[in-house]
Amino acid sequence: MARGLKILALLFTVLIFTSIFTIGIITWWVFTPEKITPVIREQAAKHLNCSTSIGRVELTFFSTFPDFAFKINELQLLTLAGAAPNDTLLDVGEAVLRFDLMKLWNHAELNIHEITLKHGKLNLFTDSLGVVNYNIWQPADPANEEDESFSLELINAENIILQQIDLRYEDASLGVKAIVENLHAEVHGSLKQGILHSVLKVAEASVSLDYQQEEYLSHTPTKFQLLSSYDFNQQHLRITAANLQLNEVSFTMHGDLDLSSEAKGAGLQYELPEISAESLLKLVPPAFASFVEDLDFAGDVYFKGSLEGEYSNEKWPWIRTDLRLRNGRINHAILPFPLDHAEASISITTDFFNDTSSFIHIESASAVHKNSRFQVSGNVKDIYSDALLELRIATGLDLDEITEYFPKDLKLTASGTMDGNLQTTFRLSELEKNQWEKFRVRGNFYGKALRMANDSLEMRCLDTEVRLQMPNPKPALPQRKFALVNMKSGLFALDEWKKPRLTLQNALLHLETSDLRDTIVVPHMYLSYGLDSLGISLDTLIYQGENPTGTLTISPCRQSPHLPSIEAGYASDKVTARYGMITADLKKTNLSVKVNRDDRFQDAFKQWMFEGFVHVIEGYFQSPDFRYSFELPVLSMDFEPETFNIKESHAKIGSSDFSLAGSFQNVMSYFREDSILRGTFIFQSDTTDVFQLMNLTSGLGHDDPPEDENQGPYMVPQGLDISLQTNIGYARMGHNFADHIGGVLRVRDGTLVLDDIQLETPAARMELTAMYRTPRKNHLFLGLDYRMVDVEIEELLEMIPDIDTLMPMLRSFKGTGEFHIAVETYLDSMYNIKKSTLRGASSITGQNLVLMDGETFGEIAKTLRFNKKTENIVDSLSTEFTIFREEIDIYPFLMVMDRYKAVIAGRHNFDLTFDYHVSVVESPLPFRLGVDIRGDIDNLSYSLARARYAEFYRPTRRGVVENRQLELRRMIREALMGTTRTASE
Amino acid sequence: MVKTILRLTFLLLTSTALLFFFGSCEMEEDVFSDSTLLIGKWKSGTLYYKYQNNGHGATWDTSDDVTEKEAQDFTWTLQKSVLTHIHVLEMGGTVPKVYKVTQLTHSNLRYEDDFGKKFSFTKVD
Repeated sequence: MARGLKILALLFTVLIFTSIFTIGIITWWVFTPEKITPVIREQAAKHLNCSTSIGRVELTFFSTFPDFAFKINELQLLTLAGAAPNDTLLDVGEAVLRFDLMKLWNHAELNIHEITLKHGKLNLFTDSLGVVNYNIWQPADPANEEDESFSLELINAENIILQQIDLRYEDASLGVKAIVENLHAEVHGSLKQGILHSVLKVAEASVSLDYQQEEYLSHTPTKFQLLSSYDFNQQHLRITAANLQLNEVSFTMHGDLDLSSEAKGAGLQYELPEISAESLLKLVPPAFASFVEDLDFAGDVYFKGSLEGEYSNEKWPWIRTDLRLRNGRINHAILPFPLDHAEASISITTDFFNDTSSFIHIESASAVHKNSRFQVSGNVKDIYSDALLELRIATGLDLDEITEYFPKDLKLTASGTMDGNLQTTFRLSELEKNQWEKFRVRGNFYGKALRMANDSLEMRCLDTEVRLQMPNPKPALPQRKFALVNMKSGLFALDEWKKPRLTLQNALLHLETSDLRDTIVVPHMYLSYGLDSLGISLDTLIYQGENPTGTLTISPCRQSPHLPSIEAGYASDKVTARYGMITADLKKTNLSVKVNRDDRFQDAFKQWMFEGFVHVIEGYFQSPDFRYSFELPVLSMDFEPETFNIKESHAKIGSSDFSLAGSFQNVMSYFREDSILRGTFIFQSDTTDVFQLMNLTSGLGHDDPPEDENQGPYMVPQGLDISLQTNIGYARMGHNFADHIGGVLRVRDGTLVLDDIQLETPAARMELTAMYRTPRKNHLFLGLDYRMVDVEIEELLEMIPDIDTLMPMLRSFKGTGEFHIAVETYLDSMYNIKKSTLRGASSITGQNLVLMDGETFGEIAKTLRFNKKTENIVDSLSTEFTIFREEIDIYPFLMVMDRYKAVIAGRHNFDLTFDYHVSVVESPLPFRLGVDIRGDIDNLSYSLARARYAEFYRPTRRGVVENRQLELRRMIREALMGTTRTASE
Repeated sequence: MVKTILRLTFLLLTSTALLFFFGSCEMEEDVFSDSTLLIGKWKSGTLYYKYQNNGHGATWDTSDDVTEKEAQDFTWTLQKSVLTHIHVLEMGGTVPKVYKVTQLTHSNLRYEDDFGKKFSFTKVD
């Protein structure tokens, strides 16, 4: 056995050496380069339609063992096909062509199964018409086919090896330009039963790629491996494994491609194993580098996807890509702050054409910045037309961290947290055009211990929840569908320079609104609110309200849509307000107001027209301008631009308490100076201090109202026409008072009229009609029609001392009479009578008056021999007199006493001098007697005179006062109708 | 008694004689028929009267801080020597004042009332 083996080994060795020897002879002495090179050149020229430059060709075996090969030095292929930028197709230092020796020996067929190119360059070019420069094979000539003694088959090359080759490929029709430098690649393949199994391996290359003149790769280190099989019959490519490595980024792929013209389809799976984001950024084409040059992007990125479906020139297969980012960090100029711990899981599905089959699904994308977090999920649809974004955004902001990224010039500081959840749907074009009205947003925001401040302002917000919906799902009006906002806040405070300006406690706000961005168009807005307390402090205004609730509605005015119409409702429990030195305390307040703007007026105040109602319970007001306390137990008033209707009111001002009901008319016209202010009221009062109320109204409407209502005369308000139907139980006027006063008080444009006022005093029942007009401070008109019935003359003189001046004889009487005076005069600013303007008439009547001066009476009674010696009774007295300046003319009147009747007339002067005449018309004497009395009270002179008046005389002037009273009242009415002449006329 | 009757008789006769005496002593009145002399503004100290030819007039006293524009109206008539002022009050009604004119020229006006009070004016325009 061992011998046999030795023999066999010996034979094998001999065979080997013989073969080597034979091969050596063939390669070194038979097929020398000098013999082969011409043959190769001849065959090249025969089979190639390009110029060739072939250096030296040698047959090798040992270096290419176990194959024979032609080793060609300095191989060049030159062609001018198409519009190639140069004529060199191939230029290599060495080309090695391995071939099948047996086929060459038996069939004269050069079957090259491996090609190796080294140290050179390969230029491939396709011009804009699709003409290529690498179609160098001569077409087969059937006529010469039988004579062909030698054929060249490169298609069967199973291996192609490129070493240190610079490959340049340019396709002018596609705009593609690729340069592969220092290419080391191998292609191995085998064709079996119509299926080409191949392996492509690019071990090393530096790739540059331009597409449409945009640079996508620049000297990018590249590796590539492809394991595939191609079925020529089915035209089906199966990529068993493909791995492309650009820089440090590696892509893998596997799957199938149908390449038949009838049904092209793809079913590829690709994956980018987890790599760093920095590596991925290096693949960003230089053309787009500017977009990411400020991007700081780190993290682990992972791609995985598939390419599936039919495709054609008009149709692309679906591509689905799943993108994942882990532990990322992102910072860019457009971001206000860097984001850390970025996590994302995003899938992209697209066919590159159709919106219906293309979308992006963001399963989750999140990041944090210190203690702040952000999370987004959702879908992006219609990505090839107008992208539709359906996003869910969740945030958790730590404002203290974010503050440092605010613009420094704002000098803004903030603290607290704001968590939010937002669902939104919008299109990209809507975002670009700021078409927020088309957004669909639903979000909740929760703020805790929020605080924002700058130099002057500080806003604090504790436990605040805001809910936002766009559009408003249930708008009360279609115009308010833009947004719905509900806010709940535990505490909201706004301070300015450390001083509280606005404070809301436990506020609930509900807001429906139209788009507020267009400041030219009047918005539609509805706001309702409710708070535990509201505090406002603005300049000199301080307001504090408990449990305020209300609404605010803003909409365009119907008649003038460019102007706003505002409706506001406000109700509050206890209110404490202060404006300057004016303070108000209200137990309950209910206010509703509708405001319209009329821009026909220049004055801002006059542009606004109000209507609504106000209801106040237990109001208390104080002001340094109020000399008296002001309480308002009840006020219920409706108001509209022209009418203020006081339905119910009770007031306590100083010593007065009263209720007032009625209405003001022409209110807006009054403020627009188109009309005077009219009003009709019922004034009921238990107690009224007349002077106090007069002080409050003195000077209203005057150009120079008194600075102090306690100084100067009472100036009747101007521009007013106010009528008060009064019913006063007790009225006080200085030290005087009266009971049960009833009548009409009317103020009309500087004129005050008391019309038929009924009042009672301890001294008398009185009827008063009076007019008081104040054309100027030192010229005040006073007209009186004053009737006192059952007046005690003593009390009358005490009440009106001036009567003693007019009728000094009254001092001698005691008892009850009737006094009636109608008088008018002008007064100076101290209410002194301007005597030159005094005119008037008066009557005094009395029955059974007692003569007061007992000594005088006794002397008279003794002289005249009265029967009633112990009684000094005047049976009747009836006198009338007129007043003109300082002259009082006593018209003849009849006085009856005991058995005497006398007619008395004369003149009495303000200087207390008088000139009287007494005619005794009935006496025990048988003749009539006349006496003239002249002088003053201290120096009387008596003289007998002819009796001027006959017995049974009836004063001819009787009735003057009555006539005058009638005329006075007529003139008062005319004055109120605006027909009274003014002093200036 | 007789003495008393004689005294009374003497007194009655004396009185009758006085009545006849006073009754027969009425003076003849002056006649100032040219009332146009009255038209114009008359002044007496600070007191002013203004007569218009339509029978209206006005009066004011500047010592009481009353201007001509604020004057109070009256109507007037002059019949023979009787000058009657009917003062028209702003609130209506009138106060009559009757005077006897004693002089009326282009520059002077004098009158007096029943109580002997005299008034003297000079014309100011």
